[in-house]
Amino acid sequence: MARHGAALTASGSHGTRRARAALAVVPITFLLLFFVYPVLAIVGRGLAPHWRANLDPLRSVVTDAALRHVVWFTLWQATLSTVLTVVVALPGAYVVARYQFRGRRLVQALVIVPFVLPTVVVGAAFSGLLGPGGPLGSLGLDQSLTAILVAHVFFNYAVVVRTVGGMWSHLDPHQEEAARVLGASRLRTFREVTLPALRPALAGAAAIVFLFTFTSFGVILILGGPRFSTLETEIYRQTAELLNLPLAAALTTVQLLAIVLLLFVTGRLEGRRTAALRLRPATETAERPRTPGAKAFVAANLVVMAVLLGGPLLVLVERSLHPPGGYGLGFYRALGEVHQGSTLFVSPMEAVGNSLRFAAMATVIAVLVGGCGAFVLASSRSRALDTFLSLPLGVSAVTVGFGFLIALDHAPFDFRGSPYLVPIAQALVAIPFVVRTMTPILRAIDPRLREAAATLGASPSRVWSEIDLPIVMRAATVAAGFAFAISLGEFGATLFIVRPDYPTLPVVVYRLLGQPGPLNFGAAMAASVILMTLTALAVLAIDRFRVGSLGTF
Amino acid sequence: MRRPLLVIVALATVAGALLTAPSASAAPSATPTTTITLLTHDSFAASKSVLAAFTKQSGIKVKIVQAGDAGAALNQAILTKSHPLGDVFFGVDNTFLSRALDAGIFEPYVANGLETVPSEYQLDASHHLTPIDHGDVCINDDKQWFAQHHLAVPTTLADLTKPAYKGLLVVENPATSSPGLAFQLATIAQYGNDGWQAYWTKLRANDVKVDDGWESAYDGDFTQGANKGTYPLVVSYASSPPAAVYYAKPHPKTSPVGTMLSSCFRQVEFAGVLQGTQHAAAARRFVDFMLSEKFQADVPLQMFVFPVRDGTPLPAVFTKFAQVAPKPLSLPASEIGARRDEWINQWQDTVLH
Amino acid sequence: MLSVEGVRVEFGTFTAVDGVDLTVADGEIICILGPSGSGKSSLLRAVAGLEPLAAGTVAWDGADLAGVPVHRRGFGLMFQDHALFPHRDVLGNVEFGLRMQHKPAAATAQAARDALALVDMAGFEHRRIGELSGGEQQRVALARALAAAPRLLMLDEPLGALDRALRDRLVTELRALFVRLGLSILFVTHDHDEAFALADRLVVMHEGRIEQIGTPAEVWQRPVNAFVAGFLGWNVTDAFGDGLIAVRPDSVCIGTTGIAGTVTSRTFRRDHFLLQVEIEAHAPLMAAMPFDAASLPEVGDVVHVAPAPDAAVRLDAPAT
Repeated sequence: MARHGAALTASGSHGTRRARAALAVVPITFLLLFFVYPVLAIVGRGLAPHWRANLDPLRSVVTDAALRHVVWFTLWQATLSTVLTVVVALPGAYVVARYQFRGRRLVQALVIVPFVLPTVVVGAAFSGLLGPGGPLGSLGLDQSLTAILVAHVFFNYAVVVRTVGGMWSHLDPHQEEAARVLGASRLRTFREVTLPALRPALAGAAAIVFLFTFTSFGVILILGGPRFSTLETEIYRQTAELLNLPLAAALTTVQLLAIVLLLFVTGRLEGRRTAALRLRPATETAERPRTPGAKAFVAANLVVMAVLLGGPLLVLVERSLHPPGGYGLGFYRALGEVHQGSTLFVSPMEAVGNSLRFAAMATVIAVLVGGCGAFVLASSRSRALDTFLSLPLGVSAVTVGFGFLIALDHAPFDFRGSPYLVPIAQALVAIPFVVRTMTPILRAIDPRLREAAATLGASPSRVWSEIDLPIVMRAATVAAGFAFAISLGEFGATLFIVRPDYPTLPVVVYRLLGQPGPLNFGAAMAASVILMTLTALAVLAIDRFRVGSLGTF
Repeated sequence: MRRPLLVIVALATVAGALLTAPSASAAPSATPTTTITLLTHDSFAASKSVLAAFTKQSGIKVKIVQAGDAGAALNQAILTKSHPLGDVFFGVDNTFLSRALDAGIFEPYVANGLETVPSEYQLDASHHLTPIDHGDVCINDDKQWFAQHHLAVPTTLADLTKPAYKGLLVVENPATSSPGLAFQLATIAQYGNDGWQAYWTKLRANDVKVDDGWESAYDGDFTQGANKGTYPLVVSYASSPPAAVYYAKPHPKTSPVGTMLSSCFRQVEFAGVLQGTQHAAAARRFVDFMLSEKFQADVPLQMFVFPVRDGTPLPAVFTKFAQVAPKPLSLPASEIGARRDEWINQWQDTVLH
Repeated sequence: MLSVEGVRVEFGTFTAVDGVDLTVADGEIICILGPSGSGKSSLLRAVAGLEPLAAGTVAWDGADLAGVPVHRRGFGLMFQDHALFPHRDVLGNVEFGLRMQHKPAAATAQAARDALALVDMAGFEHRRIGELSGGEQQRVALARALAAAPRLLMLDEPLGALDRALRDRLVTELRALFVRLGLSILFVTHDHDEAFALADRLVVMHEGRIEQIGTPAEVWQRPVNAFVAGFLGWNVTDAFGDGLIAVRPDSVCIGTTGIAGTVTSRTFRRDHFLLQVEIEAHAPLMAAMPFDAASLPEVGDVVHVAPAPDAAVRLDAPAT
């Protein structure tokens, strides 16, 4: 009957509750120290300078028309982006989940690459495409809301495909067939049977997409231009450029409230009734497309993916291989030569090495901290903890970065300028994903397996090491891969941290883009392609370990 | 099932091994070394050999920390006044001069070599900040494009409002871009506080394009930029022409990029010793070094700006291709400091809304 | 009337149904009987329109159903695992088909209740699916299919998920229900007790092909080839030197005449004992003896076996 996987530990026993609390301490402390404290410091400096509360800036957010417009536009473009992404990516999710075709695993893995690329790189690719000199320049999409929306769909397509697709591949196809036989058309079946079953996954995906587009920064700046202003770009302006801390703090507060509300609402939609579904192994539900209609559907979606996701990336590759005088590796050579002898210079090998080093460190931190959180959430389903661990995604990186400056300024906690701050910042961004990846897997461990092991003579610790540990290790590996890919391409958080002299690949791209001359731009493209390839390899390597696709990512 | 475990262990050992990060190569010195931290913006660059020479001669190692663009870096220095992030700050330009001085984050110091700097660059009489380099923000034009389209290259700011040049100019948003702000200040200097908004209204009517940053404008929209855009006029630097030659392979004989000298706005960049530094003496030696011949001669090809020290030899690509405005536009630093925010808001109302 | 002609269903290179011809007359109950993998479920799904045809036609009352989508065929299909919608209660499930027909709400609810009463589940309207036992779920699934008033009702292993006692009871109930409703029924099973009890006509399938069609009595008395005989539990042997014959276990006489063999196992089967007799150089024979027989051989005994007179069926097709 539908008794679908239960608590990781038998609920209620005193010892395990204490163990759970001990585990929870790890992620909570980490976030308190490196997130809550800095954010409170900088927001406090703004809203309560000299220890006197001044809530006028908060009021001005409501009263000032321009600020109201900023808040409204942020919500509006995030909603539009989310809806558009879901609509475009849902058929793609179905194709990848339910149809077996050659190259399916490759597609499943590569779809993630745009998500983990830094906006600096994507902005360059899109402006190459949509800018006045680009091949699609005649569409007039430069500095338009359309360009922003398209870039958002590009980034977040994978979220829907992997989250919703993952759930979809486990749904029992007999339900849909039963509805169809009872007289429901395909559309009706989708509405009445499939959507209710998919709702948790859809809610989770929509939440993440909304989070990312709500706090989108690079895309708004580069592709939108000066006419578009969101909470995130305003916070950046007020904090970094104008040092107007009160207004920045007010805007940050508004942003935080919106995020918490969103996470709360989607948490409710996500949590409902995953237990009541009858889920089938993914391998059983996929089949080769056999009717001409199905084949056309699969082909159409693959084309959409190739064009939407592959197009801009191909632009990057093409630019990097096209120095003046014909195709060749000139720009890649330049990457190793231009600025040689200057402090600006970092050899590509060193940059790759730095990127890999920091990503590895960040992964270790994220998996350890996030893993503890996942353990706790697997058994306690605490929505408060879940929301808390996801908060770093919703707070502006510049706020956190500047918060570090004033919070972490006393020895022995003066990490500012220390290289260790970079993996910590990257880990902050990766932790929510680690949690969301590991928790569903941990939740799904069937207690009957433990019972079977016990009856076969396994002691409790043996049960843990034979039954739980392999599954935990597998979950941790998947999460680690994802954290690694995210950290490789992480740019926003590290941009606003005072950076020590260990530039990573995204920083190299950013530096080169800030210099004049075709050689610098071409070298930036070359570095971007190297970064792209590294992340693709990381994702491909990790996908070998993915088991089923239950839960987010 | 053992494989995931192996992978985790492998990753962990690799991470652990890599945690011993490589140290920056520094020439070993016989004398005990102090290390000072230079806090600066993302565009700072210097030859490693030049810095190594400094370390060798003084026994002081320099650690460079880059913290965003000029405005962001300065704001971070101001924010951390009570616990400074470094010993020396480089990168205050004249548009931020009064904010930096008002924040009181620098120690006064009269640098050695200041006497070699012409008075037009000595904008801080209190000597809290020392001038190090100067560069002009000017309109750059694509000479080839104008020749191909049989159009005369515009030579004055007023030309830019003529219908012949409609939709050919791209500028940056002063709120988010330093050259953008400098250009706006140029127009204020030219047309005065009462006339500059009318000028921009005309520019707007003439389809001026606004980008958020220099990269989008130059590489994205400028016809000579990397994306081969459609705008032959862009707000950039007087050093862009030599850069366009220097960073092209092969080096062209003439620079395809020209400069509208009448639009140039003078920018001077300063460095200073941060208040509260534990290494005041070493910091001062470094400020002296930044005014020395060696450093000043290095500045052009590293940061694409001009040295302030009189008599510093310029590299060939500069003498051949850089045009320096004889009488650049400028505004008093104190006025900029007092009215900048107001001017930016007015600009946004006039041009964007 | 349903007519299936030359239907072939392929999955890639694998042919699941290989040229099947079949008719279901109005009010007839047809059972497709066969082992797992014989293609019977695929045939059912092809008739429902859930699988595309590689060849052949499916027609109703002479009208070819090619191109008619699943939801317009008016056929009912009850799945082996019930496939009830977990997010709706019992009534919500049962009235689903009626809702798709755009009937007014009151009539829909009433018809759904009637269907539930038909399967003896009146009163369960607002229960959640997860709370039902296996037998209850099966009845709800049946009610759901019936409520939509299909012109042909198809069932895939309808009693497969139930325990034996329940199964036996439901078999009688179902047949009575189907006869009363006068529906055309096409159902699929691997259990021959179920098939014989429910069907008007049997279709034995093997590896995608039809081996034999006939009434249960016909098939039971005269299996047409070695496969059908073996599937029904007959002995298929050539040990008696008369060519290939099939003989039922209860027609194998153990006595003094016939071929010698050793008893290797003896199983109690409620009203008889089933003995396995090893014969040299041939496959073992199964012999049934009444449980209260006078002398019951023990394991290890040497016995003589011979088919009862006129009980052997000569087989033409070689054993597969």
